[in-house]
Amino acid sequence: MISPSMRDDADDRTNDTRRDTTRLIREAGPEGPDPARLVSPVYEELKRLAHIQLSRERGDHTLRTTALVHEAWIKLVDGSQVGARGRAYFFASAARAMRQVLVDHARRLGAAKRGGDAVRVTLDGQVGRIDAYAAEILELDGALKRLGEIAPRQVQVVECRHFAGLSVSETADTLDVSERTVKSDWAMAKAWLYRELADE
Amino acid sequence: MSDARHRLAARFAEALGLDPEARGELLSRVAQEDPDFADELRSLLAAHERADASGFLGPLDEGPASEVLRAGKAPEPVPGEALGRFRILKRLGGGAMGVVHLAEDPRLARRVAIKLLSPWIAADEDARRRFLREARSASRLDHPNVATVHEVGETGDGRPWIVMAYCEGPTLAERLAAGPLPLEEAERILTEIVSGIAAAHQLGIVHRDVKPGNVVLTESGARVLDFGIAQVDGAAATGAGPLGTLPYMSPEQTRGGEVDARTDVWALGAVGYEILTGHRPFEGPHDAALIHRIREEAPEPVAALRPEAPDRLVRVVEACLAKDPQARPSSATEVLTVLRAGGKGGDPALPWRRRSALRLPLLLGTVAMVTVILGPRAMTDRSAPSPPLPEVDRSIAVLPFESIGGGEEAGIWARGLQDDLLTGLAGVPSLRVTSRRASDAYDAADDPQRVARELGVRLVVEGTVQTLGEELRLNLRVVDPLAERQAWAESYRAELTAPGLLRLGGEALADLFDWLEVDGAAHNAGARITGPDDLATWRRYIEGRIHLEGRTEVGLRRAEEEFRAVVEGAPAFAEGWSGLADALVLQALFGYADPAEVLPGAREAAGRAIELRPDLPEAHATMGLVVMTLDRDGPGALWWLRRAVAMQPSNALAQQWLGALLASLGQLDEAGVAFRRAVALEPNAPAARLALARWYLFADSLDLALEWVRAAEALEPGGPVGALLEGEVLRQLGRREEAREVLRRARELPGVNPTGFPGIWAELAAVNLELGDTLRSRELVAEIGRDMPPFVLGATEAGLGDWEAALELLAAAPVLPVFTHILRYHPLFDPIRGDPRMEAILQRYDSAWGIASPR
Repeated sequence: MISPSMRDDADDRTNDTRRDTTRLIREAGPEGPDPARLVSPVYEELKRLAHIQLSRERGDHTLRTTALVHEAWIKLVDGSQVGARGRAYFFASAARAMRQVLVDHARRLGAAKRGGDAVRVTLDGQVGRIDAYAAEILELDGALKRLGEIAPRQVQVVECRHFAGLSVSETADTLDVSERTVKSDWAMAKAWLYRELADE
Repeated sequence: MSDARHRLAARFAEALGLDPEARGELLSRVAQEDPDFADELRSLLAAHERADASGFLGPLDEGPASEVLRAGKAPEPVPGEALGRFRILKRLGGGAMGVVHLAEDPRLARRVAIKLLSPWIAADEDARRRFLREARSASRLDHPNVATVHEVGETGDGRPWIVMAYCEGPTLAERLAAGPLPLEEAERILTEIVSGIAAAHQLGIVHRDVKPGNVVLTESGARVLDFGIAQVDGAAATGAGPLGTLPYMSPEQTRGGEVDARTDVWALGAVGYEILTGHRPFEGPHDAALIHRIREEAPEPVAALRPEAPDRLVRVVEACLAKDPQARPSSATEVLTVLRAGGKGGDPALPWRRRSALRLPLLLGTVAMVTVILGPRAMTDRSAPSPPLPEVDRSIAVLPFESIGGGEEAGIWARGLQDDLLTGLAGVPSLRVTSRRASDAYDAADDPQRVARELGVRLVVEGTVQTLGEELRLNLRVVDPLAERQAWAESYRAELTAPGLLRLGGEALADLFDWLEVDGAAHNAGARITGPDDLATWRRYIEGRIHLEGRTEVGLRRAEEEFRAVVEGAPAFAEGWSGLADALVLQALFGYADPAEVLPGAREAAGRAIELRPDLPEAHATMGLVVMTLDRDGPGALWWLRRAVAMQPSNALAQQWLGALLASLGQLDEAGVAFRRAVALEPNAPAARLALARWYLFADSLDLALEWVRAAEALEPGGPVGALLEGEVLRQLGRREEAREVLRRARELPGVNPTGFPGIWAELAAVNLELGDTLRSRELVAEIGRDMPPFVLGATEAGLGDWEAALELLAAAPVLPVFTHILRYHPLFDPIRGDPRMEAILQRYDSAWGIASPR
């Protein structure tokens, strides 16, 4: 149960952030808003929404990334003020932020394990899976950084498709490229990353 | 990106589009120029293949990312490698299910095909077990027209594989691509396929994915591959979609319904049709259109495409393609009997024809014929007859519960419990549940047979609620009007407290689910019944819902007040926020409040609701409507509404909104599916019928448009919207005198004037012009005046056939997104649809919706 006073605080903050992010997108130049300034509030919101989604009492506990990104959009931006381009900027940032959320999550798990968290160890079965997941996410993140050096757009495609769960056409809209480009970038990036991770 | 990288990317994309042979050629050509470059390319292509086979970087949503990523490291076996005692020779192909390798069995010195299940599916314990069970059951099958399953096993890390006979030869799909078959060969191949499937049916094995790609034409005859495997595929997709291969899928499969031998019979019909005609019976530009045709439309008669095809074969094939499984031959064995008897000369009686004489019209698959068997229906004030929807399904209506004693109090709880059951049932994908508003027209005193007939449902739920001091009792029963009996009944009692009511509602729903044999996933919906912690707040919530249903201005304002009080008292009760959002949205929708003023609040409230309960369908629908009307964010709105109907397929409003949005975004076929569904869910709602009628007008089915608009008007006579639409349809049909008559009467309806309904004047002007009364036509246009929005004036000119003026006005008019579907599909604009100026106008509308114009 959330107390009314706590809600009010959260509301004020959300409303301020919403005004700020909307303005950030609306007043951006042709290159779009500064990703550094946009990713941060989106990151906070996604983390919060993911926490709510995964900790709610009923139903399954799977992470639905596409839902998170759409909810964050509604929460953080007044869609009627920014248009289709603004929407694209936002989704690109949200995809990046989603990757960051998962990476940080994975890092924390690793740290907790090194600290010898007793509860985790007793959960048997589960432990192996979560640890493997954390390790894979961190490896993938490292490989993506290396890929970013040679083909930054392919990284964006991976962020949209894999981390934000966007479809090919949504990704094409978001990155303002053709669907064909998305498909070939996606295939190339997958192959490259697969090889990179399998070699290790 | 560097130049070298660009070159690599370009070559990589090129190579991916080539078949293995051409790819090899490309690689060796590249290798001559630059061996290092070729090595890099080869290595990437190999990695791509492995990445794809293992589901690497699949969507995070579909399961723990750990499994996806771990699977990414389990490479497919390579030629030369051993798998059990088998030696891999080469990769034959791959799909969503896994990869097929050609291998050698050294012990028996024979070649076999090994299918290795993809690690991603293997990770799903249920799917893995089902795969093994099905494969083992298929291994009992030994027939010359079936690819025998030799062995079933698992790799060390738990990936199942099956070893099948390796059939050498082209697939039927490849053969058909080369052109139509000679009739004699066509009959032989069809008989062989049917006989293979018949052998399976005799053992109780259903194939589920019969298609030309699964038939190999060997020297010794046709052989059917991949028995019983499709099911696993679907299981792994966790209900994300129906299984099978779409063009050959039966209507019941497209609905994700029960599948039995008759599903294979349908697919045999589809394959037979293609063998005879060279065409698939159903085709469409995209999945939604294809599904619509499979469910609703009769294929082009075989005789029209291949007149020389023997009548006997044609009739067998067409009988297999009956929409209703009951009307098909019951199994491949039955089909085979007829085929063989025919082969010996003579024309055998078709046994299933006799059995299903009553269903013959369904067999022909035409809507008009269904009307004949249903016969004339009683006219009533509550439900005027509608053209039937050709849908035989599991459908149910929940009538308002009767309350005994306890006065108003019992009435409130009766209403609340009815709501709980309705909401729970509406979330079950395999059920059609008519809306709350649809069943509100009836009560327990009504004859269930009449209710079932008028709402087009199979079963009717009735309930009685009684409060006795601190206790509440619910008697629940399901009536099966066809059998004229009570099919199920149960009594519940609970303490009259919030937790007591919650438990009671949950129990009743769970029992009902059990009785209806609702499967596991949907069963969890039982847990979805929630309520606030205290009884008084809950009461207010139910009262809010009651006010909401009336759709009156006063009612909606009252509903808003109640819900505001509810969320204040219980801010963590998601349904309270969702109710508030609904109250606000409906006020905007019915014109009782300024959308710009109330919709932001609706968005806020729906957002709260979703945050508290991400599985609340109504809030998703509301969010979709807000994003659609306030933001004009087409893709965003589509996402919310699609999600709403996926979570709650029986949400009539969401279906209708989805239909409207899809029509605006240029997806007419899919819009039709939604509008049809909306009518099925609220059979007695005039608005739903009108929306469907308008869709038929847009889809160029004028007769059906007329039928539906009249059905809507029969429910609610004297509505100007219906009259205008009827006039439009009649004029398009060329029935000008009738159109003029209808429109003249529409003009006289109370509340109708040229400012509010300029369309009536415009249509009347157009029809007068067509009838040669130029003068009257001009007068009518003058009555509209020039102060109208330019869009309206443009549409008027289009009606009068002055295309230049119409284009000029429309080009200058500001974009009004609510009219997008009219501009896109109304026959009014047909003559200028190809005009580049019209294209430019439509592009402005597309960009207003945030979508790219079709390229």
